[in-house]
Amino acid sequence: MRPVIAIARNLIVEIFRMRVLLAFIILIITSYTVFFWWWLAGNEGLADEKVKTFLSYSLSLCAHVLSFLTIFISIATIARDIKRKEIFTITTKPVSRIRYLLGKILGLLVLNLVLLGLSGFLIYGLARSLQRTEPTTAAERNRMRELVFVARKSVQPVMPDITQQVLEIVEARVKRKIKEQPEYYRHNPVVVKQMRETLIKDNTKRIINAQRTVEPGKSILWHFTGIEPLDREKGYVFIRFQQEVSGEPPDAKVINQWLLGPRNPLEHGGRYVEPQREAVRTVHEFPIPVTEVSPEGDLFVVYNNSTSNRGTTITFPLKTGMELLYVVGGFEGNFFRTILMIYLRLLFLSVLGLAAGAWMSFPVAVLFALVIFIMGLTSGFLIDALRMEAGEIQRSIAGTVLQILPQFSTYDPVPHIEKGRVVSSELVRQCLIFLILIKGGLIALAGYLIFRFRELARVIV
Amino acid sequence: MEYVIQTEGLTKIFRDFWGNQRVVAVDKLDLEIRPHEVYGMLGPNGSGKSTTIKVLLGLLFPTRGWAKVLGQAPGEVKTNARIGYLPEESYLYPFLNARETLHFYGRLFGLSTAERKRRIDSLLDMVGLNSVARRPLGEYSKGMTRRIGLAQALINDPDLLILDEPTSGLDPIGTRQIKDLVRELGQRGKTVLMCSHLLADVEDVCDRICILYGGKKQAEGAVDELLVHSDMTQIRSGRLTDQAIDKIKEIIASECDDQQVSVEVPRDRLENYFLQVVAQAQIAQVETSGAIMGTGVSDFLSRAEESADESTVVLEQLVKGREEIVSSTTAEREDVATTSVSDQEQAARDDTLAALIEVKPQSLPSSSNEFAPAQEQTTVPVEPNNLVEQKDGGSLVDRSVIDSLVTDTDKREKKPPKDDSSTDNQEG
Repeated sequence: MRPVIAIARNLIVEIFRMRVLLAFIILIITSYTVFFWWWLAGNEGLADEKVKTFLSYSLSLCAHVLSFLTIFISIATIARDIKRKEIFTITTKPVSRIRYLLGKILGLLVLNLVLLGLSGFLIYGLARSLQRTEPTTAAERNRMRELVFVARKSVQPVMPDITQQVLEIVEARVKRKIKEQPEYYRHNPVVVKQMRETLIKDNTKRIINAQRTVEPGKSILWHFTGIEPLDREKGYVFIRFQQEVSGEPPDAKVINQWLLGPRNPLEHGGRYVEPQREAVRTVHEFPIPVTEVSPEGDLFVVYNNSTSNRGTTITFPLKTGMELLYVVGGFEGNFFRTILMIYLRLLFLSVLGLAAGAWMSFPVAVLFALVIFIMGLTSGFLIDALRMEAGEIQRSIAGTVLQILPQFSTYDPVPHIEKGRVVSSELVRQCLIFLILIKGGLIALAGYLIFRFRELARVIV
Repeated sequence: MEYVIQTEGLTKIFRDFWGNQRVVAVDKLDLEIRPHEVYGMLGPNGSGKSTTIKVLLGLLFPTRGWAKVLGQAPGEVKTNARIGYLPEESYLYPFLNARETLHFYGRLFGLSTAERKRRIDSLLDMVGLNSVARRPLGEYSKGMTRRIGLAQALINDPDLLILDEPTSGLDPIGTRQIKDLVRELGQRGKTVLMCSHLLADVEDVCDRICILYGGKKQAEGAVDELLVHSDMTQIRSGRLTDQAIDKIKEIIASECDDQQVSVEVPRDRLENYFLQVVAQAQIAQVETSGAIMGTGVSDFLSRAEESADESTVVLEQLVKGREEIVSSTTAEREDVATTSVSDQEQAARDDTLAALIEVKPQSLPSSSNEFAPAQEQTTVPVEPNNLVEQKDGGSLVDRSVIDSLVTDTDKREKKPPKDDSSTDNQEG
């Protein structure tokens, strides 16, 4: 173990002597305190929105700067050892190559722990400071406490299974088409297959939209289940919604009317929420007393498209259109899990950087690691795009490649904490298993095997 | 274990990206280096010396053939624990200072903190870097980094020391120290593989050498065997009168062709003179920001335990004698630095200087009196005839010529004849 610690310690000393830590601290302090503090002070808006923006900005900046730093340092530390041949005097000592790599990883872990820890303390302190200084009214303080400094879990409404319905429609359409040109389709089965896929996609989208669309003067019933708030006696659950409209209403606002209860309010009656005139295409949240949730964890919500909206059809888009949030924990635990997930990402990048640096020159390894990193950051978008637009073959090939890549967007905790959503232990566990143990493990294994069996010296004659 | 290093048919071929053979760096090399041997690998640039060393250390893999180091395949962790390696350039971290560097390498060997500190103090003294031990290596001259490189190679008290161009970039002091060290380690029973293209360095310290060219072994053998002129004889003596020289010439002429007789007054080597001047400056405590002449070999560098044969016992006794000289020398040097100088002390100071410089082993015949104070000597090459070998393994001496000289000198100057031991001392 001593050689591993010695190598780790040497890496940390190197980083300190290279003034990396100093530069990082100066940058962080400058960006967080000077620039952003000034920006916040000059920006008029809701206090909780300011804090959300601060959390999002500072945590994303911290995660990205440390990610780049980790990539550069992890590659440099091994590629430079090889290039400057310092590795000759290390691997000819009783240090196996696996221990050399472990030492480097340990050094990077400690370094990231220090840097991320410092950043975390700073961000937490500034956020709590904003919580004290920014709200000017009791309502703002409450909003901040209930919407930001909290860990809330999200549930989507239960939607009926439309698979059978879609398939029936599609098959009827396909049969009709084949009947029109039987010879052509008999000799072109691929066309039939493509047609079927397109129809499934289109009809699924159409039916889902229809289920989430409310005509003028009509109502829609949402059913949420599995709600398990931390406190079932007091406090609130939150409806978070966003609306799209057909035709532009006056001043881009519509009147929203809600009726809710633990059972279907259309049959059993329920509690009215005071109607609000709110902007479309904007995310809104309103609280509901937790007592409206049934002991079994059910809540029914009816939305009524008011006739006052002058014939505007309202749609609640998939994913962001309608969800329910409830408190499951405090901010501290959530913040800790957020930092932990960023730390896991840095661990993955350390392994990736070392593996790349073990067999590539510094510039090539940096290019390689950055491409992986950026593809990992955008993997969510790419997977969604493939799912929506690509054909089956494209989807299977590109999807496999994307699945191999680290999906940083899936395991990005910042959007969660920014919105006061829980960074769940389950998410941390999945990140640990899929990102670190499986993908990181495979990369580490490949890197080790290459490093173990490569010649560290070059023949010079 | 019969051999510390053994290779058979060792071949290293360098291929390009497409797998085409570009260079045969080492070609079917067979090496057998025995325990306690100081072995030199000579060759011009690009002859495969460094490549061979890198294969022996596991930094390169052989294309064909095999190599064993301390009975194991190259690169084994347990084997590495017994090896000290000084690469052709000191590849050390420039952001660490000398002390941190040695601590780092000491930790790699798992040495305890106390043991590391003890060894580091001793090594820094030995390589003369104690006064600059807190400066980052990035600010060191090349020679100073070679010295700290050497110290890191010795931190584990290795059984096998592999030195690749050890004197490259070193000043004469450093060069002499490295040679002294190698000799000392050889006498303490360590095995040393030294690779260099500086012939004098290898000649001065190695028991056996091989010469590589084009990756192949061109010659191998004991230095004495390879370099001795078995058809000539060299006689050294104190200052002789012209008459005595004429008489010697007559005697030699009666024995062989006098055309081959030459009489010269030897002179000291510049290396010795340089070291003398530097030693004086150091005693006078002239300020320097560079390296200084180090002390003797570090105490912790142990003797090999396996050496039980007769030759090793003799070596042990020789080294013991030298250690006594070194320890008394150190004490004397301290006295010189702190007290006023009397005549006796001046004499002691002269002895100190001589002891600091004098370290030539008894077994090396070539330039064997280079460490003696400058004095006139007479060199008389003669035909090989009636030759006897000296006990110390030194040069071959014509017994009849010596007898004649002694008899003649006795008659003329009434002085007692010089015995073998005095000759030994002069040469040693």
